[in-house]
Amino acid sequence: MGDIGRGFVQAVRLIVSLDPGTYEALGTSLRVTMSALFWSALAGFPLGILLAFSHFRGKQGVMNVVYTLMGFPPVVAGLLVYLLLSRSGPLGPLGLLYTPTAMVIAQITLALPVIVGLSVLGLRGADKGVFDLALTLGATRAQASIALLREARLAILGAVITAFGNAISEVGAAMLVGGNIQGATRTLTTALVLETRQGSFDRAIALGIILLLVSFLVNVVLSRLGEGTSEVGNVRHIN
Amino acid sequence: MSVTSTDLITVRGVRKRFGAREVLRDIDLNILAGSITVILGTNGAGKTTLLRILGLLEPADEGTVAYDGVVPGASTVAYGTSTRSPSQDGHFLPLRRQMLLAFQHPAIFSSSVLSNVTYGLQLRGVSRAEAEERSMAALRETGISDRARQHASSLSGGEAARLSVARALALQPRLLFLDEPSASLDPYGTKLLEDLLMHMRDDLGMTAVVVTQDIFEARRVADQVAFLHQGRIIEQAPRDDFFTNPRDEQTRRFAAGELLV
Ligand SMILES: Nc1ncnc2c1ncn2[C@@H]1O[C@H](COP(=O)(O)OP(=O)(O)O)[C@@H](O)[C@H]1O
Ligand SMILES: [Mg+2]
Repeated sequence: MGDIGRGFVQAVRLIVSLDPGTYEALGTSLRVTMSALFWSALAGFPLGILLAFSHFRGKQGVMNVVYTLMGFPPVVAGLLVYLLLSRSGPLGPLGLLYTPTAMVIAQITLALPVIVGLSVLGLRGADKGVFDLALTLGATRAQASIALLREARLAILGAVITAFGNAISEVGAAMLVGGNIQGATRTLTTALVLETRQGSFDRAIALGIILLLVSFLVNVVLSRLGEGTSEVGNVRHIN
Repeated sequence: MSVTSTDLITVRGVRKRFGAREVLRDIDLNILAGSITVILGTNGAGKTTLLRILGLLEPADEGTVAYDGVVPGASTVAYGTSTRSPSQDGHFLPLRRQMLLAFQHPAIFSSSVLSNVTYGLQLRGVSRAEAEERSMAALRETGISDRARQHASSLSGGEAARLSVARALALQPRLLFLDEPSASLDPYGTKLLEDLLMHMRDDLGMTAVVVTQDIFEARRVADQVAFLHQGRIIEQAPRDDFFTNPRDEQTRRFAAGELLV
């Protein structure tokens, strides 16, 4: 049996034996990524709507920055956050370096541009006529915006899935600002790097498989959420 | 032309430009309550733009549009904001809910055909059951009730146009704007639409403004005809005067199907 086969067996073993180290890393990965995703979505979708439908000078410049940040190398983001949070940095007194919070901050810098950029593209691509259609059918501007968001729901789902995938799989920033501290900031990816360095390829492959599995499950759940109904929008309670 | 008590819409001095392009120049127009006004004009004359301004989807740059003698949002001039966008809520929502614009290129929500019709009713607080009942009746009248549960994006161009008509039937607006409604309809659909239009005028007292390029359609349905050419209303007259006794030479030539220069 090759390394990959052994890794697979080991993965099953780690999962069913409820290996504490593995589950801890999995828990940290999910917690950090989910909170980064939550804050990025909370700020990113309103920003995306604003950018998609407003006109102001320098908008193209802002969009170019957003699109560039979408491909921001995680280690660079990690480095910036590291410099911000390190003891001599501007936010040093907060003592956040090597905590999960630091990792959340680093992941937000990666996920936010993805959410903003992809939602702008999705909303622009959605049929503009739908906004006017909703208005002429008697919607308020807020209700018309909801109808439009609903038209762009697949693009919005795509933004969330992409941001999630980027965040949970990145290792550079998590390593730099988290420090891979066992039981605290060790994630699936930083653990995987460590196991590989130590030559424990079985465990490393096992961690990789678990990472893929988790991504798959989360995406299944997200897609379900995005499927929606055949309604134009929930208008029953708005009037 | 003066404001009379039977004017539902009174347009005075409306101008609109897109960038350097003057699309509407000094438009005066009277839409009589309970009548069908047909706006005739060539491609790019500004018909769609005018209809969108009347339908409160776009602001005019200059001039006023009064509904029942009242210019919506005008009171805010006193506070120094003379250019409120008509799509802003508050002043305009109650008025917008009395009107409906069917677009030149029928817009649809990506959802079922039925919920494309119920949406407007539910916005007005109609219960779901009643909204679906009224919508189904409207879909039956427009001949697409068998498509009700289908996704609206699967409709053909003509069926989508029928869906637009069904929305109007279900909502029964006081004021209906139709932008080249028969462009994608077959002869049956056109006949259906024209009959419904006259029925809603006669039985419900609805007022309609219909944009078309089709002189014969204008002859069939119009009470009033306005001729828009290069952003100007060249002539507005009762139908028979317009076609038999036009005051303007360009109108005469257009009505006779001759080319304009
Ligand atoms: N949003 C817009 N931006 C720029 N130009 C426009 C816009 N809408 C319409 N136009 C221009 O205004 C002119 C009149 O358009 P429109 O009202 O659609 O004409 P019609 O419906 O009579 O064919 C056209 O030349 C068109 O290109
Ligand atoms: Mg047009």
